[in-house]
Amino acid sequence: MLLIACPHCGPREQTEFVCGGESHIERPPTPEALTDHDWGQYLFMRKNPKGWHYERWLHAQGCRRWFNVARHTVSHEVRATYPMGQPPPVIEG
Amino acid sequence: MPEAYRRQGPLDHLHIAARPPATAVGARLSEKRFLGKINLRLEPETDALEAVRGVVGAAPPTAIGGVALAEGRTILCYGPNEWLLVVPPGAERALVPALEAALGGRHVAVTEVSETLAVVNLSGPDARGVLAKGCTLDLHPRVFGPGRCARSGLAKAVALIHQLDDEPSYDLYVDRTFAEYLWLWLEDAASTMIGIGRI
Repeated sequence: MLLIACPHCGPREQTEFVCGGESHIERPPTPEALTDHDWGQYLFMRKNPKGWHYERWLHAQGCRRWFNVARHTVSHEVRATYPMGQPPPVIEG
Repeated sequence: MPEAYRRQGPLDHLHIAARPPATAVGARLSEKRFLGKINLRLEPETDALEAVRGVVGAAPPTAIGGVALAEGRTILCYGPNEWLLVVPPGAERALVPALEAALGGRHVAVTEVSETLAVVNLSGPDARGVLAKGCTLDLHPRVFGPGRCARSGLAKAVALIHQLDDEPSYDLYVDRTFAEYLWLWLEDAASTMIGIGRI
């Protein structure tokens, strides 16, 4: 069970949240110029790191807002939570 | 809104008045029927808060979990730009047009949600312990006291919990379709309370 600090509501239990997968994925500015391979990369290919992972989470049972979480995929440590639109924090190690 | 003689509360089919009251335990359940509820969405940086204060009598609190009271009206803040305004039954009919007029032209949403939410009051010395059985919030008075609210999971439903006083007494706002489930769950949870968890 994770304790996740919602940027709006403070620390809450993991059961209140929904994970929305990898964050900071930008839609290509000119999709019509993309090859099928690049479009497939944008649509389907996701990082699967062993280490720090930046994810979108939804506080579904609280304020119902999306935000970003920096989570370690091995230890499940949540190092940072930050609102949508902010750049990912730099995490050492 | 349906015609008055056809209006049914979300718990009417349980015939609450005929159910045996849980007198042996220190937690009482009651339904607050037909309260007017208005969902408010606006950006707190703007002068819209002042416009709401002019109509309602109290400015919406900007801190999440904050509660403002004014002449029987309650404003609960449960999101960064979201409030629930609770008024006595019927008062919402005049208040919604008044709010829309006062906020006219701004990027806001005033939505009447009276029939969406059921309100269950849970009070008594064991009320905190009953809530704690199904809720992961820290309900200790030093963290969550009178004049606080929070939206969180309660049993397998989602409820907006508002603590009214030190007894303690809580108003639970739950989606209408979850009202029966939550009521029966609370009855069951209260029936096995024997004073544990009192503070």
